[in-house]
Amino acid sequence: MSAPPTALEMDAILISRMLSSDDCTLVGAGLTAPRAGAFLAGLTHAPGIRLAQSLGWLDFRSGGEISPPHDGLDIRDAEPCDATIDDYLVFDDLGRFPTFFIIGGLEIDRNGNTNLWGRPGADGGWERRGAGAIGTTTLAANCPRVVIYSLRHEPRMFVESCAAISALGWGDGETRTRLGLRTPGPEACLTPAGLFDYGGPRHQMRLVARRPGWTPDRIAECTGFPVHDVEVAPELETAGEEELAVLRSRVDVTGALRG
Amino acid sequence: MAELLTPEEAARSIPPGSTLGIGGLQGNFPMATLRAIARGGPGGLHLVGPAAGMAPEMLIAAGRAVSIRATHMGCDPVIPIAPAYRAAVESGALEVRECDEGTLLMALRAAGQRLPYLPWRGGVGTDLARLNPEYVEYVDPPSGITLMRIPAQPVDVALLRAYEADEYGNVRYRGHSHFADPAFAKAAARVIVEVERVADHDSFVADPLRTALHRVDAIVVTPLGGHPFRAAGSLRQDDEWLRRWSVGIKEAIAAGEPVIEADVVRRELRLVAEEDYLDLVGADRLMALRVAG
Repeated sequence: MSAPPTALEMDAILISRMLSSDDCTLVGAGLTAPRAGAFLAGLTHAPGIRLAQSLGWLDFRSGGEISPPHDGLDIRDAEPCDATIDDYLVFDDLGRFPTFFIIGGLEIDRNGNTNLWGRPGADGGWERRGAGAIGTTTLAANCPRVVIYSLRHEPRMFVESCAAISALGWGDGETRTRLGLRTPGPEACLTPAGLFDYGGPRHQMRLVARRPGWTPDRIAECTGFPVHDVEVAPELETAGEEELAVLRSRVDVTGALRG
Repeated sequence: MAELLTPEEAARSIPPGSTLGIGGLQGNFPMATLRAIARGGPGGLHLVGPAAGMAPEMLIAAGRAVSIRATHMGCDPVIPIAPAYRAAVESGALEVRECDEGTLLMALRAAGQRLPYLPWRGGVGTDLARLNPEYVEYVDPPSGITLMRIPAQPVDVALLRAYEADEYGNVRYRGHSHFADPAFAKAAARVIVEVERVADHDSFVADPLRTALHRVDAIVVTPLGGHPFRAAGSLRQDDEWLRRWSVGIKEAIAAGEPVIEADVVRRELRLVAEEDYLDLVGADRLMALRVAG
């Protein structure tokens, strides 16, 4: 019997389960667990998956060892790769790439709208400035499958409304339809508290499964808005022996996700 | 023939108040020239770019810029947000012209195509147009869908870093990408490219497919000049240098000092030339960071 999965290992496994061979995914900078999840999918149930990172198309043939967390865009993330990506053309194939994208936020509201810009001041300046949206503003409007991923779950992050929306989620629930966007809003949100979706009324956040140690009361206390189904959602099922074994032996061989 | 400039000459060649496009993406930044601008170059600059990364941090710390249009000023997870940038924005000293990677690229592309604007889907339904009134949401008459009008972003000078160039200004890269550099070059009235080394023109003729930029205006040869960031084919990123920078800026802010008075800023602004900077970093340190070209 192997040791139970860590939270980051479970992140990788849950993201792996979301992916299929049809997916063409882009993993952003520093997202070690999602990167591991994409590798795990490619090595198990989704051999046809395409994964881009650090401006390279990763070559799955040689396995999927991930490197520990490091600075933003590390060329080690793109090795080995069998094709490269020019950033100035990266948005020229939006019908096919990416089909699955992970977004983070300094603020995340109940409809999955996110904020990476910060808090605007009353005078037109910035009370608190974030680093910026990178490509999320564009990808949130164009990518057919978006998942929000957060390493923290606290009230100042999960807010009733974002001070500024840098990446559109479901808007007010009907915004995407009103704007004629061809893609849906986020399909899931993965946090230390659990796995959520946007299947509540008007595409509001709903708890699908909570992590061990996260009671309904604790989730409610740590979220700045009411979460649907928080009282009825089950505890998250743990990892299967086989997926955990592949993750540890062929993906995370350095133990980056084990702390 | 392309002009062959030192970083200091390149910095002096940029008029005050220019719109400066900065290439690279989390690395491959024209750091030697950016340092020269910080030390004694023009002020009142309007920065555009880079596509992502905190290359202009020193220039901002030195007070040379008045506005910036960049997608992400940080270096995760070493520095989640560039501290001098954040302080300058929050104090009102630096205006942010909001954008993301897609809208920035469309703005550069519109400039290269000499169009007033290009339509884009990214940004609709967000606060992009509220925060940057240059953008306008509109309903496209034929399709009825809502799009964002992205005005052209011409730049006066594109400042890029690549691996090598010949005497005619043909430029090649190493590694995985040309980043957004071609878009900056096409949007620019003048293109200056820092390189690691000069290569023979015949090698470009023998393999023209690898020529990424054709006959740029000026070349700045600065071996290891991409420090402290990674430069494809020459340097790994100096994480420790960046951490010390961040701590130094934050300590100055916590002490109530102007960022420009921080030790990590002053020690660089005292220098005269790029060679002094490389001495400051130290040969042993640079050699440890060097990668085979």
